[in-house]
Amino acid sequence: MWSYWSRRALGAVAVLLLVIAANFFLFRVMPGDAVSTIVDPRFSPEAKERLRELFGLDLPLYRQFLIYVRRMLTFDLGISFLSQRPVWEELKSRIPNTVALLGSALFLSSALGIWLGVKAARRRGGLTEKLVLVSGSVSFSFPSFFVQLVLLLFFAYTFPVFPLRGSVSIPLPEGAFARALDYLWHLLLPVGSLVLLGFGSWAIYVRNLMVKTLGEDFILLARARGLPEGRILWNHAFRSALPPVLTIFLLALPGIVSGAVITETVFSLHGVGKYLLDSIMGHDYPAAGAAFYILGLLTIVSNLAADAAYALADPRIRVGRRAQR
Amino acid sequence: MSITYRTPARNVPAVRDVSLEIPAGRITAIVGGSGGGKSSLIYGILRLLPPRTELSGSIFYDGTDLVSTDEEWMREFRWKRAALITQGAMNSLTPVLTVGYQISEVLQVRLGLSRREAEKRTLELLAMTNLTQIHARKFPHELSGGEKQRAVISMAVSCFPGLLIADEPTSALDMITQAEVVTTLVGMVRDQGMGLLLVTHDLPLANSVCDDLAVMYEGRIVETGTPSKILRSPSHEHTRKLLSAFSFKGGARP
Repeated sequence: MWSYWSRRALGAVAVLLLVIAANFFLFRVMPGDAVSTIVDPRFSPEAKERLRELFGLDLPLYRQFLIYVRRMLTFDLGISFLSQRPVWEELKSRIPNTVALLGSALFLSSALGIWLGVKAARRRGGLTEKLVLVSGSVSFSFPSFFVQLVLLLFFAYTFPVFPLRGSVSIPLPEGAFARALDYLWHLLLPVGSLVLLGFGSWAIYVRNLMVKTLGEDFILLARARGLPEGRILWNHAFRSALPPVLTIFLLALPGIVSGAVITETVFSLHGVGKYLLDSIMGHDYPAAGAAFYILGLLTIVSNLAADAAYALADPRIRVGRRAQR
Repeated sequence: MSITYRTPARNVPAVRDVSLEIPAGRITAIVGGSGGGKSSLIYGILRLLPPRTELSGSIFYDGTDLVSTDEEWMREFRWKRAALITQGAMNSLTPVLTVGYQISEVLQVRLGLSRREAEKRTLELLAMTNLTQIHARKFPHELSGGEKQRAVISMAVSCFPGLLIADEPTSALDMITQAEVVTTLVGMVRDQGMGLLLVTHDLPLANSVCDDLAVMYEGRIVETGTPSKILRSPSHEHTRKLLSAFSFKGGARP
C-alpha cells in the first residue's frame, strides 16, 4: 500500500513540475514580453533595460527557470506586472470563490445526475429515462458560454432575479448573514448554469452503468433474498457501479477546472479563472503563470483524492495492493 | 405452468404446460440439456423472470398459488420459504461487499436480527459449511470457487426455508470441489429436513443424490420417476441421449 501511494505521490510531483515547466516556457515563446507591452513606448531603452533587470528578464533562460521553480514550490509567485501587487495576495482572495463555484457545481451536478441515472435504469422506458437521454444529449451539444449568456440575459437582464455580474454586491451588505446570502445569490446562476450543463452527462453515464449492473447475476440473487428494492439499488447495484463512476469523475476534472475560465468570465466572478484570462490578455507572466499553476495544483490534488476514493470503493483494487505488498 | 418470453420479433415459449410435484423434505432433480427450460422453470417459481415474460398456470406452495400473489407477498416469500443457489458462484455475490456482510444483511433485513446477533449467526451459518470468520471478512473474489459456493449455501439456509432451489450449483467447479459442495449441500438439506430442487445437466450427479428425478426437454417434462427406474429403462429419446452423453454404464446408485 505504502509503495503504491509513494508512487502516486511521485507521479503527482512529476506532473506538477511539468506544469511549472510548461507555464514557464509557454509565456516566453509568446510574441512580445511584458516590458515591451505594458510600458510606455516613450520610455528610453535604458529605462526599459532597467525594468528588465528589475524583473530578472535579463538573466539566462535556465537561471530564470530555476528561480521560477523554486519560487513556485514555495508559493512565492512574484509580483504582478499589471497591479504591482504580490500575485499570491491576489490569488488568495480568488481561490475560495473558484473552489466554491466548482465544488458546489460538481457536487450538485453529480448528485442530481447520479440520482436521475439510477432512477432511469430502474424504470426502463419510463419518463425519467427519456428525460435523462434527452437532457444528456442536449447538454453535450450546447457550448457552455452560449447557455450561460442566454441564462444571464434571461434571468439577470430581462427578468432581473439574479445579479448581472460579480461575486458580491458593492457596497457589501451589513452583517455576516446578509453577506453570506448575498454571496449565495451571486453564486446561484453560475452554479446553476454549470449544473444544467453537467448533470445530463452524469445521468446518461450512470444510467448506462446501472442498466448493465442491474442485469448481473448478483442482483438477481439479491432479489431472490427478498431484500427491499432500494437496498438492492443503492447498496448492491450502485455500490458495485461506483468505481467506474469515480473514474469518470477523475477524467472530468481537468475539463471542469478549465470551465472556470469561461464561467468566471461570463459572470464576471472574482475567481482564479477570470484572473488567468485577464493576466494572459495583459502579458502578465507572473500572474498568468501562477493562475495556471493554482488550477494545475487543484486538478492534481483532486486527482489524488479521486484515486484514494477509488481505492476505498473497489475492494478488488485494495486487496490487489495488499497482496503486492 | 407455462412461461413465454415476449420479444418484439416473436414469442419464445420456454416452459410448456409443465406439471411437477416437489415433495417436502425430499430431493427432486430436474435434468436436461441446455435450453430445455430448466432455469426458466425455477426462476418462474420464485417469480424472478425478466420483464415482459408471461407466466401462466399455477404454482402451489403449501396451498398458496404463487402466480396470483402480489410482489410484496413474493418478496416476503423469497428466501424465508424458498431460497436460491445460483448457477456458477462466481458472480452470485455482490463483488464490493464482504461475504459476512451479505449474510448478516439478510439476517438483519429479513429476520430482524440486531447487528450483533446477525454477525454471531453468520459465523454459525458459515461454520455449517466449514467456513470461518476469516472467510466472513473476505470479499467474494478472495474466495475460491468452492468456498464461494459454500458461502452461498450458508446464505441460502440462513432463514431456514422449506425449499432450497439449486440451479447448476456445481457447474463452474472442478470434480473434487463439486463432490465437496454436493456433500455439503445434501448434508445440510437432510439435516435440516428441507426440500431440495436440484437443477442440473449432470445426470450422474442427479442420480447420486436425488429421491425423485424429472427429465426436461424443449420446455416439457418428458419423464418422471425414481432415478433407478429412469436410468434402468429410460422411456424418452432425450433421456437416452443424456445417458449416452455421460457414457453412463446403467444401474442405480450404489
